[in-house]
Amino acid sequence: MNDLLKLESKATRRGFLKTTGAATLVLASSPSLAETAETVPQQSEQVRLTINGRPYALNLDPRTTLLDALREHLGFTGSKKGCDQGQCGACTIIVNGQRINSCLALAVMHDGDEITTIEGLADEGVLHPMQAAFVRHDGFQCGYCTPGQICSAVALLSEHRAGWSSYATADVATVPALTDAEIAERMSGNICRCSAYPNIVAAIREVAKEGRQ
Amino acid sequence: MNPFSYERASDIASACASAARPAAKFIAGGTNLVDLMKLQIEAPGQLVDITRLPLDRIEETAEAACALARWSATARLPPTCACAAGIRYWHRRS
Repeated sequence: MNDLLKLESKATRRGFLKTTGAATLVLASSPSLAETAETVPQQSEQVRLTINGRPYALNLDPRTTLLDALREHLGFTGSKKGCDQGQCGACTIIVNGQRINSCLALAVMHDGDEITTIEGLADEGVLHPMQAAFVRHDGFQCGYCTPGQICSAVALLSEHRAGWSSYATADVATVPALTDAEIAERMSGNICRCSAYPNIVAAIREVAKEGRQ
Repeated sequence: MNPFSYERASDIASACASAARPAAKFIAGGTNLVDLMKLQIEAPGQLVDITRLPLDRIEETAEAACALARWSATARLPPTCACAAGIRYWHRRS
């Protein structure tokens, strides 16, 4: 019984899915499918990325998206794959200081780029102010969109500090105040199916007012 | 997604030469190409990456403005720029 408990405590959801997923794939793939895959000439490109301050080098099929490179090749599973079509924002990461949908970015196009993911925001176990504000304001329910929401919110504040306007800005020639309408518009690329929007806006508003990042 | 070869253009002339090949396409941001490639609506045999070419400069010419400039950058054009008023009009409408 004790052994069983130990085993269970070591088992993770991700580990379980990986094992059962691999078994299913082996069962499902027919020999003809495997042959087809081998006959396609594969171009392999070397991609160097700096992720959360550390350098990585990979050899990737040019079709690999930045999101898949992070999740499947490097194990940074914090960034989530929601729609894989650039519509939900769950995969939002910060590349060279700007937020992008990593599911629509080919990794090979980002050779040499500096990437920040949700894993890189906390500083030695101390939450980033935006992470702490999301916790304080309950800016989530299921949490699936949260890494993208937080990366997006962090980049939003630097965009606003740099004087960027948005669709909600009445006069794009002026630097707008970060009203709730401005926050909502600037976060409109990040969908939350649990609809935690009021709390997400409250968290961002608080961090913006405190001027902390 | 169908396999394709990838090439990062080093200058505008070579980008144009590469893109002239059949089944080749330019890729810049990719946000309206990669999604279509995933659905196999688009299936280019070659992608020519032009993101690192110096094409994001905003200037007024007789033909067109700001080929690779981001939409957000056009919103911040100084009011003295003759095309700024027109672009602001489109920002409000789009």
